[in-house]
Amino acid sequence: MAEAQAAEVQSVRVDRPAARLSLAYVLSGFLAFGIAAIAGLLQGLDRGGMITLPKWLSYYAVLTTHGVYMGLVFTTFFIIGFFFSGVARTTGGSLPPAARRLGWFGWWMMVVGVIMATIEILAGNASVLYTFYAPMKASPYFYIGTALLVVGSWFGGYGVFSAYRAWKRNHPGKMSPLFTFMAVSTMALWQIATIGVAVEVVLQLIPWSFGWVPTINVLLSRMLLWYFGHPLVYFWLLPAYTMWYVNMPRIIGGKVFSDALARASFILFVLLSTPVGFHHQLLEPGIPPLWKFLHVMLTMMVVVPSLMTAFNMFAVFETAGRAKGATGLFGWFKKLPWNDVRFTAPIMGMIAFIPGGAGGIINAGYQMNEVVHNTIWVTGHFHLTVATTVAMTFFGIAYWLIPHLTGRRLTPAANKVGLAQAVIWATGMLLMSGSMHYMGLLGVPRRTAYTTYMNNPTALSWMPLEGTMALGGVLLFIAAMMMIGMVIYLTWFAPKGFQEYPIGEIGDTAEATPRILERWPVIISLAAVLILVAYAYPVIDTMQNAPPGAPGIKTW
Amino acid sequence: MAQTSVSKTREHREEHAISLRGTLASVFIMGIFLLLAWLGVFILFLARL
Ligand code: HEM
Ligand SMILES: [Cu+2]
Repeated sequence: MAEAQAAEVQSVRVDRPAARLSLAYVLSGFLAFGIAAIAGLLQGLDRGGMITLPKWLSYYAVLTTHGVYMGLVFTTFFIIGFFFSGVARTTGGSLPPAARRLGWFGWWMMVVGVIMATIEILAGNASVLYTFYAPMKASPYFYIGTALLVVGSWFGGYGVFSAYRAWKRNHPGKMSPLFTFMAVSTMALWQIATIGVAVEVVLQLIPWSFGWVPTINVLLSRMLLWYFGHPLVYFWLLPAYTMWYVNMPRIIGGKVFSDALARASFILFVLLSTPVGFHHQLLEPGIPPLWKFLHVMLTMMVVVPSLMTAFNMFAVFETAGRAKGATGLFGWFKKLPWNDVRFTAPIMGMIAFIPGGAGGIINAGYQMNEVVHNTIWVTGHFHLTVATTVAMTFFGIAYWLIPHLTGRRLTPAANKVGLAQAVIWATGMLLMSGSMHYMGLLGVPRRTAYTTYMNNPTALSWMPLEGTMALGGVLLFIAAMMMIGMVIYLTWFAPKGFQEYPIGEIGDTAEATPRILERWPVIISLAAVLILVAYAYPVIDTMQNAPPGAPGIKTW
Repeated sequence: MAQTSVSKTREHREEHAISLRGTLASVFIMGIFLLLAWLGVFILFLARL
């Protein structure tokens, strides 16, 4: 009986209209990923001294493309597409028409924004990197394009919210499905976070770039950027966590360990991801040490929900393994489905998150930050977190999500290619990120084209490591192209059939979930209070005692 | 009444039956790794003072 019910739940299929919307987002994301991978390869080879970029192609334009396309475009499109599919899947198989309209409107806006920004980057008018730090000044159309990308993503969020509201209306007094709850919390976090960058772009950068105002308050612009920049990384991470909490248990034949724990960790992220931005500005003059200290303390608190997630995942794996008869302390580890790419790609990402998280804790301490600040250690760090943990989880999702949406199947052969792809990506990243970390500790700067600093002996001694990094980049590029090949295959060529959209059931021993975990007014108010505590005084201070305004400069 | 208490104790025993020893060991190993990594860079910082 329970078995039959479970089978019926797993046979739910996302309907055509919702699938088309989700697919549009996911495929646009992978298109950006493919282009950005070419840029990444060029960067690695250039830094390693293996190629020289032609005169008309600046390293910094390439790096801007890579950062914007990987960090902002690939992630945002993929995430919204994944959420739309999962919300549809867990609320009965379809999206309300209003949600779909909002979704399509947002998609078009994002596409137009990306095209605008791309034209300006390629024309050489916007080599300001993906953080577009003032006083570097890009063409106004680059900023307008970015603004459209962000505002478009809001509509994606509104689409998710409207589907959630519709479900709530039809199920009064019931807890929402876990996946939908996670999509809603992540998009709520995104709404809160993007206020900062929207204010910066619309009120500061665009008027200044058009020349309507002569100078800009650089300190304020950076505060607003990092108000957004840290929750941005949780916006990348939470969809991966959603997959781990909700989809993974089903894939390994286990159960969701605890619905309450999962929701509580997401609420903690909504509360704590924003009031921590100064940990990116520890070496920024103009922010009093006390405020930096407060943000660092809050940063250490946002480690807690990630530790909760790690505990949860170990528990899911161990429980599933023991149910299959595993014995001993670590016997369950071997019972995991290592030859299933839907499992293997994400778990490689999870493993990478252990050194990734360790690096994050190191970055966030004031003294430690002095060791690694602006070195390529930082680049190594986020290639573990976002480019391995998040990206490999997204790869793992794509292997079942795309065929589910296109009415096709992940074949055993495709699964094998996927496993190879995951291994090559992980190996490439071990080499690239490993050498980046090591070089960073030696003091090698990030964001620099090939240079030997006038044959300085110290700088020359770094070159073998730059070479290892480039080799890793080549492997990563190969894996990226395999991924693109798989996306094309699963979208248009794989055999027709039904690919399950795995959704874990809640385990029998899980505690009941407390109601407070879905009281949005309480949660959002608390988040607002924390943000005011962390930011109100420094922001007002920076406006009233503003540093001298800066005219724009073009460094490229 | 008697019946409910019987089923309750049974439930209790079932809860104890799932062992999470491996999970406990794993989170400890992870915690030690985090500490060692942190200490390593902190020592580097001190060495460069
Ligand atoms: C084909 C795979 C990849 C390769 C070969 C690659 C290579 C690189 C290299 C060499 C740099 C640093 C250059 C420098 O600081 O001078 C870099 C920066 C960066 N990468 Fe990647 N990467 C890859 C994949 C990814 C992925 C999947 C993401 C995120 C989803 C990502 C996000 C970034 C970001 C945000 C930067 C920073 C740009 C900046 O400093 O402005 N990369 N990448
Ligand atoms: Cu951060």
